[in-house]
Amino acid sequence: MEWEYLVKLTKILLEGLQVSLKIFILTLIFSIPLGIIVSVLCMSKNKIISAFTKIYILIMRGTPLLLQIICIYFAPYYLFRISYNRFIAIIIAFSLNYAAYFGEIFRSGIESIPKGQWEAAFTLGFSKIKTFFIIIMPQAIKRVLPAISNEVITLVRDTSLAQVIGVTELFSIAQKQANFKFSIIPLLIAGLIYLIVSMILTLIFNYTEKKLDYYRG
Amino acid sequence: MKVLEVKEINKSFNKKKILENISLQVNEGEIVSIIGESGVGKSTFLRCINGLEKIDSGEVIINNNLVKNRISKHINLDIGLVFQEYNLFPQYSVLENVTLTLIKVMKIKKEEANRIAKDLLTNMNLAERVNAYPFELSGGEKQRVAIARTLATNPKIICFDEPTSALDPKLVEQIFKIIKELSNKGKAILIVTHDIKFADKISDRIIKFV
Repeated sequence: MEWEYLVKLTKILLEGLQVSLKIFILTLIFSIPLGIIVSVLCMSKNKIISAFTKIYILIMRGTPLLLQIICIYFAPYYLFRISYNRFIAIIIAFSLNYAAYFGEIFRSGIESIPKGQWEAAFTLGFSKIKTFFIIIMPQAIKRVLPAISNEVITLVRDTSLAQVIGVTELFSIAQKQANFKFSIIPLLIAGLIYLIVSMILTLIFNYTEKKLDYYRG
Repeated sequence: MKVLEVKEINKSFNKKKILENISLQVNEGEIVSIIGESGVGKSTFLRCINGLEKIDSGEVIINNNLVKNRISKHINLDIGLVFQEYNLFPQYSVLENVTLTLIKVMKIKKEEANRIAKDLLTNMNLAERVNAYPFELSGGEKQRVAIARTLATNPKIICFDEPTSALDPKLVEQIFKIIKELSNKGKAILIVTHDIKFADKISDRIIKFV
């Protein structure tokens, strides 16, 4: 009986994991390119653009993600009486928040590349965009990969915040089951699932770091 | 034939004049060295004519084209620069360091680019090192890759920033031969150096910045 319950519970939790993974993957798809744009805007010579970007980063990093999710979902309703899909709100909130973190990570990576690399590319006729994507970014990514992997693993755990506006994901299902059964087991299994996902990601990042180890500099 | 003509260029940093009315001419096949103490603006001059610094006034004419303030949208590939630090791209192999410009900038097909690059690298005695990465190379090898990379765009004039500063005497002899050979092939050469002995030995003309 107990064993049957555990199997059923795990199945339910894995359904929740699907939602969590959807949030996770969509957030990465949007926040990484957005993060690259944020890093470029932050380094802009135009003071207004760079100041505006820095304020955005400050707000995103300086306020709880929980509050940001609530604001992004409820603000349109309070301001314009418009309500929209909760899942979309979660993706917007997560992407905006993580783009700020990724932006700062990319900026530090890009700024750590010696100026001589830009100059060599320039004298060889590379445009700024080509220099950025062909010469600078590959080097910067290698340097910031450990920091990126930290953020990505944090994102796995942060997906549980989606429940604050009623998106049913892994952790909210575990909580419901725990309350329903007066048992801590569902929460422990959920914890184990988060741990396994994090382990898989750690392995992927370790492999990627090793792959990029073919050169120094 | 004139390949480089610099007319009265001026450059200041924070109101401090670094270059004042500098004029210079380099002809095809000629080797010109600029010597002078640190801080007199030798490297700044090289950076200005290569478009890495904007000049305040004056004219830079490369292969009969006026290039006032070269910016990234308008690049003149008739001039090339071999940096003191070489500035090779670490994530690319020796061969890729040379083919990258051919493929991405000059839009030459990969097979053709590989052929051109291998020829250039063979001329630099680097045929065995095409698959190595910059961190695996010695200082002299890095410099020769940097020269091959610069030659990929087939510039009319090649500038060298302190080409002997990190080399032992044997390698200085090697770079001497390479520069002489380039000049014999008609390339105009402009060298900035502290090494007066080297400048004396290699140059057709020496200009002293004070």
